[in-house]
Amino acid sequence: MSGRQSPALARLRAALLPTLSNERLTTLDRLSALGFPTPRDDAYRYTNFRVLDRRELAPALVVNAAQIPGDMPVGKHRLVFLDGRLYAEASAWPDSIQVQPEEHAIDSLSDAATDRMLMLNAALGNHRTKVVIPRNTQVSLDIALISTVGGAYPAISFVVEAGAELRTIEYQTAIDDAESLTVSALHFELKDGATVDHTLVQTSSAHAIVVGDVRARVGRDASYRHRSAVLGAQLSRIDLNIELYGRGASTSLTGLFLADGQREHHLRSVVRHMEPDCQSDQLYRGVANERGRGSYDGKVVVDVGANGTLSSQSSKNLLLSADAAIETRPQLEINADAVKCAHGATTGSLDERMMFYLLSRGLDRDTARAVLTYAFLGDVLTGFAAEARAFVEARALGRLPAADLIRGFVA
Amino acid sequence: MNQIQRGDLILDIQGLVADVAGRNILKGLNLTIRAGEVHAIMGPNGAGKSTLSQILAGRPDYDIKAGSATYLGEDLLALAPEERARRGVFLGFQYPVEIPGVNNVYLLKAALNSRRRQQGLQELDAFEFMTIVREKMKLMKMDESFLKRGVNEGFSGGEKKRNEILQMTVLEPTLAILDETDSGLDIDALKVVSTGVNSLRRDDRAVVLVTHYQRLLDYIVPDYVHVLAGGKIVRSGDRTLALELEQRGYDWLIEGTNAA
Ligand SMILES: Nc1ncnc2c1ncn2[C@@H]1O[C@H](COP(=O)(O)OP(=O)(O)OP(=O)(O)O)[C@@H](O)[C@H]1O
Ligand SMILES: [Mg+2]
Repeated sequence: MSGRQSPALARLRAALLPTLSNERLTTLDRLSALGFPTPRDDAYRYTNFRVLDRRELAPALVVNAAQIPGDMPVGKHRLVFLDGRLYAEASAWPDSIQVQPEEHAIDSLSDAATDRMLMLNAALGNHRTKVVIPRNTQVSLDIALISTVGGAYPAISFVVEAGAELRTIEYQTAIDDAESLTVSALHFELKDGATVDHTLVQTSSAHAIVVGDVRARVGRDASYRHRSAVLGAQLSRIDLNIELYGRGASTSLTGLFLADGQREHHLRSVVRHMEPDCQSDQLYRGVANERGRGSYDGKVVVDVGANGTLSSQSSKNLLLSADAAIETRPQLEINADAVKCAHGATTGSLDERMMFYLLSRGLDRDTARAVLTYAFLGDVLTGFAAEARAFVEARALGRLPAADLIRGFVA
Repeated sequence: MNQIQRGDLILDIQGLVADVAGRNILKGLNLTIRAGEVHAIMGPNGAGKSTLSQILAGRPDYDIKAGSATYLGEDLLALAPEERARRGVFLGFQYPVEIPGVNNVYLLKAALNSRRRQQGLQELDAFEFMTIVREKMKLMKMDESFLKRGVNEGFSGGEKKRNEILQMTVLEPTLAILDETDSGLDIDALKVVSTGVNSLRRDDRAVVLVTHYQRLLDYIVPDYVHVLAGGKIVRSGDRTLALELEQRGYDWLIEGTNAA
């Protein structure tokens, strides 16, 4: 690893020196020595974070009194984070669960200790919010991550006890049209037979940089589901690390992104099958228009002895203009027998035969394009819960070419 | 727009020469179709029947090298595909494409309203539209569940063809070109589809049936039968020509033509 001092980190270190604990300083120094990730790092092959050298990284010092955006359909039970800090006045949760701050340190979760964006989160985050969902309870708890300006480093770790069910919709947004950076860390520990249904909807403003580090350790017969709709920000990245460590564990990862203008949306996933009879499915759809860019970089690792693994990866991408680009890299690393792994990735423009069929029925070209683009996302959208889906549709559609022409059809 | 009278010229194709992927397929094709008529086009595989149909609907993959196609006095080949559709040209595809995620009934409504706007008529509201669709679905013996599905998504071969005819009966085109709509239909479906086509027959409309089977013509009796071979119409006659073709095949007609 070639070290290269980051000027932004050096500035930051100087400014924060009096306030940071030794442990945090050490983390910051390690990160500083490594520099921000660039495509030279295999895990960041499609994402270049050198842009962070020119950004304000310091956390906003005063929690801005911003309100939850009125149109954000968070449920009555929710954790609201403003600029990375839990904002208790706006949050509410059922008595059955525990929510408490805990010391924020990088834990031993697989390669967490070496991920540089996670280091940034650990060095600069306030504290981590630990949420425990007790055995056999069912909880709906939404999350709002709201950023204004500067850096926000929210961290939440969920422990979902045996047989418990957590359903959470995470709304992530930067509300001011300012340069902001959000690096979030959401970690889930699923005990035997637990289920988590986690939806992420990202609608940040146009100058935001948003990085979401999501880790799930999934126990015996437990199931972790992640759906993402990435619509906002200038540059975004989702990093999914899923460890299926109990026999019969499963995960389903689906998502869509819309990269128009000059936006960049990246997704990386590493799914590790560690025990027999685990299942993982991935279904991603990306659309890039104008000069938008995106990537899907997904890796499935099947450990020695993880026989009976079932896994699938599908990434389909649509380019609506000649300057748009989406890259894909589905990877498989199989060290066991009797596994069924399927993977496929495609990137192309609108299907000419479908286009012609719609035109031959009298639809104009703009409408036909919009209808086909929308339909392309349909596979993924139909999996969203109704309230999240409506929220996504209202924002996604508005950004598609000729959106007004197809609103009637969506209803 | 003037009322179309029986016998008016609907489509006039003169000397049409067209290439696809650098290969010459149509080699000087002439065909005249008048209001009130049903024409059947038969001919060997690869003769250019679908090529002709797709060119008339405006598919962009073909290079028109020479000739003309005049539709109700307008240069058809100069119109965009959607403009042709709105003026009443309908193509029933030989292989209707599946469009997952695009709602079948939405497409039908958008298609009908685009045609009505062109005709200077008001768009239909949801109730009026569904009344028409229900009636036509009954005619086509189609279950209403097909409306909610993606366009042709997961439809069987026969269901796709029925869906094409459903669209046709709702849109009531002036010129319907049906490319092998009968292929792959069971006997009952063939009757249903024929009923749909016959319901469209009127003095101010015309139908072109591309088919390989004379049996369809027992149900939809054509005024003319043409043989397309080697990129041209090599023989035209009345419905007895179809019976003769069934007996004798095409070889006797192709000899002497410059088949590709
Ligand atoms: N995109 C294309 N590229 C190359 N050749 C093509 C293309 N489209 C059509 N052709 C060729 O043009 C010729 C005419 O095809 P067409 O589909 O019009 O035949 P057809 O008369 O409809 O045959 P069938 O009865 O089998 O449906 C065929 O030889 C076909 O292979
Ligand atoms: Mg054909």
